[in-house]
Amino acid sequence: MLPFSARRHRYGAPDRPETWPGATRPRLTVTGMSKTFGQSRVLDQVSLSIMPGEVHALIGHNGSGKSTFVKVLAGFHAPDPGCAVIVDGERLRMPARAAELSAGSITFVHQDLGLVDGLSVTENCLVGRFTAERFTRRIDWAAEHELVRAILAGLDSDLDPRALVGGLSAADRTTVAIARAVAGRRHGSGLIVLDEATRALPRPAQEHLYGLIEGVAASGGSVLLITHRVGEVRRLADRVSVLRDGKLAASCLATSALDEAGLGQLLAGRRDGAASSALSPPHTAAPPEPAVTVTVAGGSGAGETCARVEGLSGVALDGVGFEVRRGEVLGVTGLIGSGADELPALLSGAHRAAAGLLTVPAGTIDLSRRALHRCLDAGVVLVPERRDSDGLALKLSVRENLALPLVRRHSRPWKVRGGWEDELVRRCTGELDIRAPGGPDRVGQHQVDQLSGGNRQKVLFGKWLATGPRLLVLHEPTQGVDIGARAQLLGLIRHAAAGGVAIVMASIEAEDLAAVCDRVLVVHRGRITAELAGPCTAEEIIRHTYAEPVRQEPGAADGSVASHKNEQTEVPR
Amino acid sequence: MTEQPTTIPAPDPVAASRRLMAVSPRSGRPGRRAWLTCGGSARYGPGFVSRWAILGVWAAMAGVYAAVEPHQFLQVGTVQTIFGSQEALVFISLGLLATLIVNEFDLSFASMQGLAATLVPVLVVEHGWNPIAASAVAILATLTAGAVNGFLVVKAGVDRIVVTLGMANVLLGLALALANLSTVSGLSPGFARLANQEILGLPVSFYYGLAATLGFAYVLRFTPLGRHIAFVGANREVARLAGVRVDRIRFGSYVVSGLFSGIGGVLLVASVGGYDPTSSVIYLPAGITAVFLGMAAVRPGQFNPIGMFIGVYLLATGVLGLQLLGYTGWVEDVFYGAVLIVAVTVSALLRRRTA
Repeated sequence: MLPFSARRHRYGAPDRPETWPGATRPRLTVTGMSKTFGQSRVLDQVSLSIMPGEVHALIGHNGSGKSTFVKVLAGFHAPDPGCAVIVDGERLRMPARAAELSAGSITFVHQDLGLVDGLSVTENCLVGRFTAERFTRRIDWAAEHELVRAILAGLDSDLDPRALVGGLSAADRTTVAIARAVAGRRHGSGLIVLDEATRALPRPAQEHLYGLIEGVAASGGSVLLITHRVGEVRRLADRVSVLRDGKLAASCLATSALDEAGLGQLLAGRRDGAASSALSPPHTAAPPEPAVTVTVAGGSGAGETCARVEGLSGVALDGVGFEVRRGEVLGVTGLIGSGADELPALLSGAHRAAAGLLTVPAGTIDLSRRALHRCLDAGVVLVPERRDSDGLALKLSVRENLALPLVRRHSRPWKVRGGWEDELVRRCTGELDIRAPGGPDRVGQHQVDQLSGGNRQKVLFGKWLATGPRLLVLHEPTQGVDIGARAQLLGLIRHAAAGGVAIVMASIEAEDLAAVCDRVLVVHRGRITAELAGPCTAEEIIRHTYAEPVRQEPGAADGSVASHKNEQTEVPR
Repeated sequence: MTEQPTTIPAPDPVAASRRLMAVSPRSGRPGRRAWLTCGGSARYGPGFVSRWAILGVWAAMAGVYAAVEPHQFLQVGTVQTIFGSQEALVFISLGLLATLIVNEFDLSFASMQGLAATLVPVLVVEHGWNPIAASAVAILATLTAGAVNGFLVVKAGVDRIVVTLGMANVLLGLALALANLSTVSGLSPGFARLANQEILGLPVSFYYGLAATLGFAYVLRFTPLGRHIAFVGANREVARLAGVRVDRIRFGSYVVSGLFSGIGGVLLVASVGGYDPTSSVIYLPAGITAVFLGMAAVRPGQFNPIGMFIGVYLLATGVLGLQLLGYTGWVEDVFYGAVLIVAVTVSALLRRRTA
């Protein structure tokens, strides 16, 4: 059978997959998959189908529901009622069971590859499906090694099946993970789900993985590629589905009809404008502003430099420097793994940097030491990306969460001042429009996990804005919130800036950056490759984010050292 | 505040519909929640009945004993026995609680108590020390043991179960060595008055335990330190990013555990007059059971001192009643073990309800 990709050009009607020649029925059909956590609907009526021999990409930003989709498919979560998953014509019971999945030859390669370092290649590949000898129930290791050697040979790899996985390079580890997925399927069938498996791989290993995926598809297997990398989609996928805020923004489009910019726009989801009516691009059509300010010590004073960063380096970041002025919103963006995503934690002292100095009016802070308390004292605060694990204690009340950073300063050692807390909760509730069942007077008593994502984020904002920060570091501030709350949060950001706070906002949401930022820095491979000054459009930001930066001249010594270093440090451990 | 409109201003349709969607599934199935929360109006924490159900269990247990053994159980002496003999357990359970609320675990509290209870009579009887000085040294010793636990767990990053279990064995062995493998006794009645002086029919040590429990509950509930402790227990990273000195609080919890265990040991040996180090073993399951039983009360699903205090005396009632019925020797082990399993099961169910 011809690989599907070789026949790509013949299909004009991607919305009718059952008419595709060469394949009688889809390998996998998902219809109406929804998933609700508490009050937030993470997946909303997602449907897609994958043909035999097809590489299907599912793309979307953080929080768009990609990983929830995979987890429902893998049986970690039960979907909401009304969902059907059909594999080769057989409908699976939901929640999915591991036994039925492996009977349908559906295998998963998760982000971290899920390998056990202390075990051999064979053990990792065949875990759960060793064949025991008939009488002794002993595993015939020689035969198993031979089997794995054959599988690896099919993937053009001559790895020793006896080698320990812990000692392998990143590329070889990927091979083992793929081999494990391949080992579980019958030839010419099966579906491999790759969940961001290239996320942390150095470039040569990525190329290697692409080759493997093409090989699987060529032999008639199907691949579902979960990714955020547009280049990958263009390179590998036959069709693509785009998730945005839990809904399918595009379903089963043929990639041959799309160029890179078109994909980027689909990802940002703004071409039709329907999803984004609440947000109009630059801040001329201002988002709604709260009536009063929660914030800021000492007037506006916009324009003076508030913070200067020099030589900030981390795992991927490599000597980044910039300045932020009071009243300015500085956006930082870049692909995952570029370093933009680690900048907030390093800048705010939450994680220790490899090197870097932060100069604020209170003094210079060495970010390569334990800098968290010095940063907090200097008014440098972080609104972290993982709201529910790093931002808020879900099992404690809104009141306690709001008061946490200030509770010691505003109370006597032997008694928390209830009046001060009441006032804080009342102001935050009113000014940030935090909503909870029972009306505004009862907001403070709720446990945080009873609030929706948007309201949780507002609590997190309120918690830090109430401290009167000088430099506010935001990491994906609109992640996992609904459109209304998103507009309000962006309004809050502008409003805080107008009050004189310097703001660094790291995000991959080009639309958000375009809406609130005065300047945007684009980070590529640990370095700032572009600075977009003045109000800019989402399209510009996307173009710079996804564009390969201009190659460094061969003569630039430090450049080659830097890229070499990156490849070393990006290897996942 | 009075100027604020009582309804939410400017209702936008998106948020309103979301709220409707959000509320309806919960209100659609009240029956599942109701049996534990009893329709309590508060959505933060289950209702009144589940908070105080443990008192009902206690009363029911006492009622059964009173019905079965009216002549022995319905005596003033019974009440005095129940309330006058558990102060040591109250203190060491507080110590264990101090570690559990910050998501740590100290298994060495019973052995620390045993060490303190052995040191006092050994120093006083065999070396002629002043009992107060001996008590101070005993408490200092357990404080040191707690600090070592804390250092190894927090600074060195060793597994807490391993560290404290090892410490428990080391201290038990040391106490046995100090006591020459036998019971040491012979403390003066004057020292015993420190614990046994009667106030309103109960020994003063009961009130020590009550005061310590209430004080501990106050710190947790009403002070900034208590807030920090709550956050360290609930989510360490959140606490750390907010500037809470997480490691200090964790370390401190082990030291406090040592302190309370030491006080418990001194009170125990003062009231009894002597101590057999081998008897430390029974306090381990008793303390763990009391703390986890307390999780089913007052603040359901959370470790809390007042629930633990009730748990201690509920356990004492149960054991005494069984002893009055003629079951002795083995009954404590079985009872503590069974109640521990039941208590943890109930609090796991409570936690699932509130999740």
